[in-house]
Amino acid sequence: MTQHKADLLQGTLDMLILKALSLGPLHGYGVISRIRQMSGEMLDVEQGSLYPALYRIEQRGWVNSKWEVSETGRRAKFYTLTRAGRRQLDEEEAGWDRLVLAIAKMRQAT
Amino acid sequence: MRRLNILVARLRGLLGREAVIRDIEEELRFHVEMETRANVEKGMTPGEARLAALRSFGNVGSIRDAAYEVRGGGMMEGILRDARYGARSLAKNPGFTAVAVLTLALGIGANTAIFGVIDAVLLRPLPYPEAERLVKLYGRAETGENVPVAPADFLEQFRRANSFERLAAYRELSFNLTVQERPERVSGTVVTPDFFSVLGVNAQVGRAITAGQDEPGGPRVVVLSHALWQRWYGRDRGVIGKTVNLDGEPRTVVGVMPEGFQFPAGSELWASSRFAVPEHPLKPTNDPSNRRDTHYFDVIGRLKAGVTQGQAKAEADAIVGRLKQEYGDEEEDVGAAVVPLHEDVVGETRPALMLLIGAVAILLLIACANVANILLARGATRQKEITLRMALGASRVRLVRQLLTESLLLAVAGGGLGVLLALWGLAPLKALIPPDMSDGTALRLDGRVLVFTAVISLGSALVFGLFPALSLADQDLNSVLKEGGRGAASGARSNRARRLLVVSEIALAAVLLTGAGLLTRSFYRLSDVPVGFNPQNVLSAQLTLPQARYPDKNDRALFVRQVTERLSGSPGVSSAAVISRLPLDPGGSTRSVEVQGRTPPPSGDVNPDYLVVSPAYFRSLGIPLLEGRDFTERDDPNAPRVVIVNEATARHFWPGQDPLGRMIKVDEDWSQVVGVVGDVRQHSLAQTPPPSVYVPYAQDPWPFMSFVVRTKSDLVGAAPALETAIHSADKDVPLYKVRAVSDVVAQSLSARRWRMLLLSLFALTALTLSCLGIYGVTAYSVTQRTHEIGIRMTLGAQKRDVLRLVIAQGVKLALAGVGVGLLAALAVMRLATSLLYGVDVADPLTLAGVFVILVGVTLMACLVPALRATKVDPMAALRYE
Repeated sequence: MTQHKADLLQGTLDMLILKALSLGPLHGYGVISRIRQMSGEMLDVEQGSLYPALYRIEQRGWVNSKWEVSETGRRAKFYTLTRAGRRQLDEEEAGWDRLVLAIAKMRQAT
Repeated sequence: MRRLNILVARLRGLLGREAVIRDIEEELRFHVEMETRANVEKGMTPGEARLAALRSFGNVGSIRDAAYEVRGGGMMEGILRDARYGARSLAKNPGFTAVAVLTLALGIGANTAIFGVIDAVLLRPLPYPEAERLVKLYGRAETGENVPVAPADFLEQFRRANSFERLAAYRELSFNLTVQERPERVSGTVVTPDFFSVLGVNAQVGRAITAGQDEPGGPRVVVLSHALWQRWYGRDRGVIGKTVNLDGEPRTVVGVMPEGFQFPAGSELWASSRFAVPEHPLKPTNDPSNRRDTHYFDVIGRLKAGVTQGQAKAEADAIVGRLKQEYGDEEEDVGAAVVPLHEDVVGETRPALMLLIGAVAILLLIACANVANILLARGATRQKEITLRMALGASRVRLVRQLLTESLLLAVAGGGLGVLLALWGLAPLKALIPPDMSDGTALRLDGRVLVFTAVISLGSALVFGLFPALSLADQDLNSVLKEGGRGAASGARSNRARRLLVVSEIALAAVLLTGAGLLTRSFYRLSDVPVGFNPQNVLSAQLTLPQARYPDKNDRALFVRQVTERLSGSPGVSSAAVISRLPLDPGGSTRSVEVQGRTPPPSGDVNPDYLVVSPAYFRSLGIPLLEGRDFTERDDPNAPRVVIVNEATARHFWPGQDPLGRMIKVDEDWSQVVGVVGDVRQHSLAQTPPPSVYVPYAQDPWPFMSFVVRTKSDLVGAAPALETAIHSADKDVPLYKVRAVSDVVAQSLSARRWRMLLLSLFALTALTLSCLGIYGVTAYSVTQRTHEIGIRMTLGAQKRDVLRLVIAQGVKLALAGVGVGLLAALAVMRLATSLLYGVDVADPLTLAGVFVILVGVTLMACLVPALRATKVDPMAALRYE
């Protein structure tokens, strides 16, 4: 992998996880893979931060979890986005867009 | 909702720690497997692939712990750990723990019990639907007193007022109820048809008295209380439609009220009235509906929804104003009063309860100060432990949390024990409930009270725990180490704090002691007040001659004459008589009078109490006859009208003159004053004797009366003698409320006695606690100063000097505390003057007493540690370093 990796900005992990799950239920490993895939291999989420983040999000009621049989035939814990989670994702994306816009304006205003 | 989720997850995490950890590990294992699989696909051997996967994962253990922290370990587990640790540390110190828990239990228990009473009496609404709309309506007399409304005003004006949905009139009285030939005296109420719908209460069996069905002129009906129904009819539903005999008249039973319904208090049956208002007590067969000059019944009303008490009062006031214009002096009221029914029922119990809750709050503060003090002292001995934990990296927040958890444990234990204490103390507190509420009001420790207890327990934990915890955790490690392990908590700052605590304890105790002292002084002032009669060796009993059998005045007069004559001849009896209303019994009757040759002041004249007595009444009760003569049997209906007045009347109407022979018009008749008797506290011991006019019984024979029988030695035999005398005249008339007059007097003081005893109990507890506090501080400072004392003694200080040194320190604290406390007491007790009698708030005797007691007790508390200080062996003390 020669590509440059982007650094994760503080506070964006939750949004990334929610975004990944917005396409359908995933287990933890799947979340990491999908984030990598969706970001065009630019974002890598550490396992060490993924699971605490998942549990936190679950406690906030944004995702549900359930043990199910995975594609490999082994039992895995799958996470599903809840309605509250979808709302939260919308909010965070809107906030993010505002931030990006603001930063872009700042940078152009030379 | 989200918070709830988190809480549930945390609780689950807490309960099933193992399961959660397993769950997390399983999930991580799956992750590693997937990673391995991916690596194999990239061409690694299975062994390499797994190693690479694990490596990329980093420290699995710490990921698991981090994840677990989120899933519920975290705070909850930290708190549990703190609690376990705290419990162990408290258990290691059973003496300290026991003292702290007991102290708190006293404070919290007292608060719980008193709050239980306050909740039942003041905070809960009366047990009627929309009870906040219920009011009592009064007229306002020129004196500012609330007086009953006159019949015509009630019927023609107030009942049509816009503010009220309904108004009803009622009058409490007792009936002779005869069931199966057996006469019994029961308390009852004559009500207008709207009475029950104003309250919003229905009958349990049959129906209540209702408008439309029980209008005046119709058949007269009664409704029974649940208790009466049970007592007499064994809950037989067949009682509906039966006839009972009430004061010699047949009445039909139409209903039974639900259990617990008791309004007005003590009423056992409710009867419809012959007229549109309750019958007049003296002329029950005359329709009083058109009268504006007599006031004898109560009025309750239900405000229309949305109408405030103020609006209702304004309307009622306007009505009285119109009446005054229309009828002039015939209308006796100057205004109206609308009082919430709840307030009316609670009456003067409110200030008393406020005083008591204030007292127990102070008690709890003292308890907290004491525990804070013990915690500070203990903190000194825990210095090493704390320092060690700080050196090992425990954060300040962490330490404060740990110490607060310990305080919390103490408070919870104290609260639990306090609830037990309160349960035990609740039964006697029933005496604090106002009589009008006593029947429907159950005193119990229910959810509300327990919530209160929980809140004050936690609150006290903060109060007594926070300061020691902060001061312990907030110290400079270096200075602790430098002081050679003797501890910074023993430093000047902490010592100052402890002294401050003791000073406030003593000050608070001073406030309570002053309150208790003032109430006690008031009580004894009242007990010593000259009642105006001699209650010793006098028996009293009430009796009513049924209207149906004694319609004729002369028959009633004859009955009384026969009974009193027979009684006077009984062995052991020295004299006997009747009076319309015994002194200190509730109620009373006044009359407007006209005095010959006197122009009344334009604001109106006083209306003296009107009392009907038979000859020898004054002798029987021991009221001194100051001038003139007593009534005799010759003062009968055919003789000229005569009255006897008391000194207050004489002073008011004939100041500086001889009242004997003067003419005074009472009711319709001009009467001659033939005697002057001493003043009697007719209504209450605290009230100065009212002007009174006594009329001979034979000239106005009331149907109800109290007998008074003076015996020669003691009261034994007086009651049977009275009964025999009455039954020989009429075997169907029941006697009731047979009491020693001395008991009547004591009874009238019982509420005050209770307040005094309770407050004294609290004050005593406060005194004990602050005594312990000052002992603790002195003892501690002696241990601390052992070294210093050793040096002083080596340098030649005598035992006496050491003694003085230690005691002076305690006395300084005591003086400061007493000074502040007495000033505070002066301020606080001004709010409670309505509970005092005959003593000023700044009563020098009380203040001096509090001063002496507190300083004395402080001296005693200091003495033990001071003596111990004198036994310090200088050599040992110096070597101790």
